[in-house]
Amino acid sequence: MNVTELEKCIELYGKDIYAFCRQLTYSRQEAEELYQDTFLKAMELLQKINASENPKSYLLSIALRNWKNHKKKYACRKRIADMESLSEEMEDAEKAGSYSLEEEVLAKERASEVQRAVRQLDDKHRLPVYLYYMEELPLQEIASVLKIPKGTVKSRLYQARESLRNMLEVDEYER
Amino acid sequence: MSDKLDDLLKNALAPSEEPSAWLNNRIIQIAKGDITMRKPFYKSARFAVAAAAVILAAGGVTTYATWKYLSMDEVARETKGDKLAKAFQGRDAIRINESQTHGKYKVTLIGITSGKNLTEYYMSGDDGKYEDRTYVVTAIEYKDGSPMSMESSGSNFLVTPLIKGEKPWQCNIYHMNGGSSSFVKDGILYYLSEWDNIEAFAKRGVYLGVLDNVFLDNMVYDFDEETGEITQNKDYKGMNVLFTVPMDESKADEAAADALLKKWQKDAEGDEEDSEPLDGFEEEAEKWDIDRIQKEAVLVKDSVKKVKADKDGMLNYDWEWNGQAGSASVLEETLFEKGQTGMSEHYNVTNGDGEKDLIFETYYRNEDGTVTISIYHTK
Repeated sequence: MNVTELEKCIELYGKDIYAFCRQLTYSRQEAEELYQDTFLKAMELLQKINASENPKSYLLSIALRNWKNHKKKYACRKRIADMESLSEEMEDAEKAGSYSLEEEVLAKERASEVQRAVRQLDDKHRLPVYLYYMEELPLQEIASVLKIPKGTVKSRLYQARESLRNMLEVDEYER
Repeated sequence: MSDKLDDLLKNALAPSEEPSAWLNNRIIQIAKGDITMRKPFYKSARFAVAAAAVILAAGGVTTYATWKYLSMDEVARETKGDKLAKAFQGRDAIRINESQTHGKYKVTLIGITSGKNLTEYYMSGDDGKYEDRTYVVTAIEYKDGSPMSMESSGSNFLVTPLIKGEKPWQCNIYHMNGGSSSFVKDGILYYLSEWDNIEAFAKRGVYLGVLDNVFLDNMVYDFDEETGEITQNKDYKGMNVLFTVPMDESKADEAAADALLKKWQKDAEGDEEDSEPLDGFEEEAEKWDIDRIQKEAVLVKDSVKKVKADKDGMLNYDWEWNGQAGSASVLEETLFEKGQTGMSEHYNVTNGDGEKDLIFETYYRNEDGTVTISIYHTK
């Protein structure tokens, strides 16, 4: 991969990869570090493995591996990061409140509530949720990113949804 | 499973934030080798600092009565506490008070001190606390007297040590476990910067560079390979102030200096190597190149097909082998040089059933402009 290809990759997948990094790390600073490391590692690895058939999945798996390798570092910062993340959410909600309709503010609050619930899941269940709902990867791709069988992805997603349904008292949202 | 919960999750988790253009640009610059990768720890602080004039008047030193800057111990106290403030009042501290102007800025190097355990507030890294450190106090202000603010300027400067004989872009704050704290008082921005103790370099020569951005590439300062002298690059567009820092030569230690250079070099290599181990798939994939694939891998005969790039230059194709299947879109121009025909050195690799089972997709450009895709697998 040369610099032009890297630029193209960032343009095409940057937002998705950043969103994933943001969820994995909780704090903006750590997310930016992880995001940067992901693309630089990709550039290094893809010199040989150039034409990956699904670059987005490949980038997500690099991000995941980087994050796993540096998880200890992130974990020790987690408490502060959680606070930062929460205050950012509140800030965002405040900003929203200053110019949006009440409905929009409520939707934003609901989204924050869902995001917080997902964060409470363990990694085993949290990661498939991000890859499925946020990154919109098919089950087979998720299996390949997480290096687990497709059936396991399915069952973890099912369990995650059950937990989330309870946490969010989702009956309230049922049709 | 409720559709509503699905919708709720999709909406709540939909990517809403984008990476900043600055961040993307930084990645590109690192990839190009324009800037060093390591990011120093920066901490901003806002403190209510007692008025300098009052403190200085209380000190009764007439020379400093008109001195408008905070003293180095005051800056240290506000950023790192009393212990470091005392160190800056001690015999080992060197008061410099030299100013230089560049463009709209005036930069003053106020003072420097070095030593072990000079503060309760250590920076730390993977190998523990950094206890033996050099601390430098600088002040940055607008030349025209208009006030600086943290919002407009707090994180946009780089204060870095440079060592005579070492290339500035290869040996700077990023390599020396450096960091800074900053705050604004009375319209002046103060930096307390720290890094590994560099007193050992006292005889070789130490500089202090101050930039108005955080990237130190090889355009900022000139380096004389023969003499090891570092000078400002006059053609550099941004601020590239450079002070020669007076050091206590009795603290020079050539062996310790060499050891430090080695350590920094080793740390930098460690960073570049990345600590993550390759998993089995990547490790195996790394062992292959296009020549080996053609010689040793097994061609899936049914897989060979000719494709032509679509209007966007993409080669679109599917393949299937042994119960596995793939569908790919590959930008043709990433595979071949302009006008190149024959086998591309680039290929795609995916894992088969086991992590050591690999499937390769190879590309051969024909004279008629079509590309032949062939699938191979390891034995």
